[in-house]
Amino acid sequence: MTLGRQLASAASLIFFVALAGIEAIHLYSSQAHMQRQLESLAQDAATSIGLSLGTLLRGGGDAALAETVINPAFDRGHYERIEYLSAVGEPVVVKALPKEEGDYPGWFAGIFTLRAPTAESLVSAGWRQLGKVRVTVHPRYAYEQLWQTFRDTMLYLVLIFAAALLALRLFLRGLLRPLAAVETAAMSISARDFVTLRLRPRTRELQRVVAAMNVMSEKMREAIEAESRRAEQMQAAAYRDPVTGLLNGRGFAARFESTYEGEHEPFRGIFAMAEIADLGVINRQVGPERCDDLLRTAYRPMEQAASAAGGFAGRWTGALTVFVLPRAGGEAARRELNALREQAAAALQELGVEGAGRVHCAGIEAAGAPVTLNALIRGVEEALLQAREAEGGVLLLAAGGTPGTRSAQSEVEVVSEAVKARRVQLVGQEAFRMSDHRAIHTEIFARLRDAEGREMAAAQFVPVVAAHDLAEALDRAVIERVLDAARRTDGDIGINVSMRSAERAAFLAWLQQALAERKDVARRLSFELPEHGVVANEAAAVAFARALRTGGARFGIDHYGVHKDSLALLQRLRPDYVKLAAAHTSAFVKDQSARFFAESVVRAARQLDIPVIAQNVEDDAMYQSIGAIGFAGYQGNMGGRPSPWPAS
Amino acid sequence: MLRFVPLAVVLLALGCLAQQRLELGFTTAVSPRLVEQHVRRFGPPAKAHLDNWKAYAAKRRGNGAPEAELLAEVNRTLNRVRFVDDSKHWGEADYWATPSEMVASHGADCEDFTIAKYFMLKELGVPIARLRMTYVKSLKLNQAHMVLAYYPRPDADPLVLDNLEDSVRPASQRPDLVPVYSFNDEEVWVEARGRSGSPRQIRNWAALIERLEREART
Repeated sequence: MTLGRQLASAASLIFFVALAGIEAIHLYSSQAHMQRQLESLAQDAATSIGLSLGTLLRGGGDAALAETVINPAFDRGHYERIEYLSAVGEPVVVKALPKEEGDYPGWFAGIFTLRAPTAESLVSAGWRQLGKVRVTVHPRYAYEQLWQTFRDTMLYLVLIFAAALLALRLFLRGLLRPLAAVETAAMSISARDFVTLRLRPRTRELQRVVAAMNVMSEKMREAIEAESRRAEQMQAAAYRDPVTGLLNGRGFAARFESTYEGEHEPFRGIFAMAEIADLGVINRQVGPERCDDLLRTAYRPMEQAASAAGGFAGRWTGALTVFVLPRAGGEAARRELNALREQAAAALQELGVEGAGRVHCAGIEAAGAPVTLNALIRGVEEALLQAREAEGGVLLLAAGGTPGTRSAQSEVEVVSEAVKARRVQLVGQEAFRMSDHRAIHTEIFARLRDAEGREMAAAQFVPVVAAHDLAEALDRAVIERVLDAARRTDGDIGINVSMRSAERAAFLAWLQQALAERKDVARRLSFELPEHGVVANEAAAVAFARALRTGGARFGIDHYGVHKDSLALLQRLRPDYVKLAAAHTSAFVKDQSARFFAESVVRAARQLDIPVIAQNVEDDAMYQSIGAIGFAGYQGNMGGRPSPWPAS
Repeated sequence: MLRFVPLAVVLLALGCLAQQRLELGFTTAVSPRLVEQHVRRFGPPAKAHLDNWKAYAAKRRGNGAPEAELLAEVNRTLNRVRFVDDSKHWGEADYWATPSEMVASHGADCEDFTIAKYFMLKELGVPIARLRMTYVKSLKLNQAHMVLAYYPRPDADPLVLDNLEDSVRPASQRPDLVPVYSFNDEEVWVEARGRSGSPRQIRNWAALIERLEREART
C-alpha cells in the first residue's frame, strides 16, 4: 500500500468517524427534544381538555357532552388515545386510533425509539372531583420529522464527507508529488542510473532526502566516470599507438576480426596500406621527436577518410599504416587513394623537413567474400611493394590477389531458398558463470541446410545473407525456432541479432508481438547486438533494447571492447551484460596492458552491475587468467564446443 | 475483590438516597444534627418542640385509628403552633417552611400549616391520592388562604383541614371558602389558570423540596 493511500484511508476513516459521531449526537439530541415535546404536548392536551370538561360538566352532564369536547382535539390526529375516566376510574369516553405506520422505515424507529407519552389531568368542579382525562400522544409525526431530519443531515454530511475527501486527495497529491519523483529516482539509482533530482520539495524531510540522494548519485557517478576513464586509458595503452593515436597493430587486428570475421558480414571495400618513404633516413636527420610529428601529420588524412567511410585506421608497423574504406571500390576508390596520398605528401612538405614528401599508397579491393586479415595484409603488402617500385603511384588490386568474385548466382539461390524455407539448423554454446560454473545461457548460432540437407558453412551463407538482404528473414526464422523449441529446454537462451534487423521498425514490431505472446519464454531470452553495429546506429540499438525490456527479455552487447566509445556505451545503453571481443581473450594471456584493459572494463562494468563475459576461452591458461581478472562468466571450447540445439 | 468496593459504595449511597426520598418531610428524617442546627437557629425551646412532634408521630404511627379521627387530631395538634405572618417570621413575603422549621420555630402561616399536616398524614399512612393542598379564597377574611382537603373517595365531598378551625368539616359546610387550585406530591391541576405541570414546576414547592433534601442530608 502506498503512503498516499494509507494517509488517505486513515484521514477518511477519521473524517467518517467524526461525521458519523456528529450525525449520531445530532439525532439523539433531536430525539430527546422530540420526546420532551411529546410529553409537553400530552400534558397540555390533558390540561386543556380537563379544564374544558370541568367547566362544561359543572352543572352535570353525560358522556355525549364529554365526547363533543374531546372530539375536536382527537380529530387533529396527534393523539393515539384520549380517555375520560370517571372519578372512580371507569371509562366514560374512550377514543383510540388504530396502530398505523408513518412515512418512515421500521428500523429507524427501532434505533431512535420515541415513547408515546401519557399525561393525566384531574377534572374537577369546585371541591368535587369529576374524573380524569388521560391523553396518549401518537409519536408518528415526531418520527416523521426525526426521519426527515435524519435524511437532511445525512445528505449534508455525505456532501461534506465527499468534499473533504476531494480536498484531502488534492492536498495529498500536492504533498506526495515530490515523493513519487524521489521514488522514481531511487528506483533509477538502484538500476544504476545515477540521476540528479531537480525538484525542491517544500517538505523539509523530502528536501533532505533529495539532497542526500543527489550527493550519493553524484559520488557514484564520479566513481563510475573515473573507472570508465581509467578503462579508456587502458584501452588506449593496449590497443592504440601512442605516437599517432591510431589503433596499433593488435588493436587493428582485434577491430577487424570482431567486425568482419567469423559470423559477421565479410569485409567489402578497399583495404589500403600507406607508408612514408625513407622514414629511417628522415629519422636520423631530424631526430625521433620531429619524426613523430611527421607520422601524425602524414596519417591524419587516411584516418579521417576511413572514419568518414565508416572504417578505421591503424599503425601497422613503423612507417606503415593500414586503413579500411568499407563499400568503396573501382576507379573512384583509386582516385580517393591518390588524393589521400597527395594530401599526406603535401602535409609533410609543409612541415619543411628535407627529403620528406614521398608517400606510397596501395590498396586491394575486397568483394565481400570471406577473407582473413592475414590474407588481406599479404595482398596489400605485395601491392605496396609494386607501388613503391612505381614511385609515387597508387596501385589498386583485387582482393588477396585473386579475382573478387561475387558469389555465384546458383549459390545465392540455394541460400535464399534455404532461408525462405526456414531450413535453419540451430547450434548452441553455453556461457558459464565464473563463481559456480552454472550456465548463464546458451548462445544460439544459425546454420543453413541446402535442399539435400547438407549443412552450409557460415563462410558460405553469411556473405549471401548480407549481400541479398536476407538477414531479417534469417533472424526471424531463428527467433521463431527458438521460441518454438524453448518449451522443450531449460535455462536461458542468448540469440544473436544482426544490426540490419534491429534497425528495422517492422522487425522490432514483430519481435515485440512475439515476445508479448510468449511472456514465459521471453523472460529466458537475451538478444545480442555486435558492438560495431551498436556504435554505427546507437539510436536503433537503444530502441531495440527498450523493446526487449518491455517484452521481458534482456539485451547484451557482443564483441565488446574494440571501439573507442566502448566504455561510454556501458553508461548510455546499460546492457544487461557484455561479451568481450574474442580478440582480447587471446591478447591478455600474453600481454600485460591487454590484461589491465580487461580488468578496468570489468571494474567499470561492475559499478554499473553489468556482468562481463569472456569469449573464446579455449584452454586452462586462458581460464586461469580470466579468473584472476574477475570476469563474471566465460564462453568457449573450454566449456564445450557448439553443438546442435536443442539437444535431442 | 477490591475493585468491587467503589461499586458497593455507590449502590449503598443510592440506597440511602432512595430511603431519604421516601421520608422527605417525615419526623423520622430529622437527625440529631438537624435538631442542634434548629436549636442554634431558633433558640433552646426548639429541641422540646421537635421532641414532642417526633414523639407524637411515633406514638400515632400504625396504631390503626380511623382516618377521620386521625384527621381531626392532627389538625388540632398542629394548629397549636402560633400563627405568624411570613414577612415577620421569615423576613420574606412568601416562605414555605419545612415541617421541622415550622415546629422548631413554633410559628407558621396557612401554607406552613397545610404542608406540615400533609407530610404528617403522609407519614402516618394516609394515601396521598386522598390529600390535596388547595389554594382557596377565604370570603370571611377576604384574602388568599390555603387548606388541606381530604377526599375519602375521589368523587366524595372533601373534608377540610384549616388552621383557622380545629374542627374538620366537609367542604360543603364551608361556604366561606372558594377553591381555586389544588395539588399534591403527584400531580397538579389548575382550576382557574392555564398552568400545568408536576408540583416541582411550582416554584415554592420546588424550593420546599430542595430544603427538605438539604435537611435530610444533615
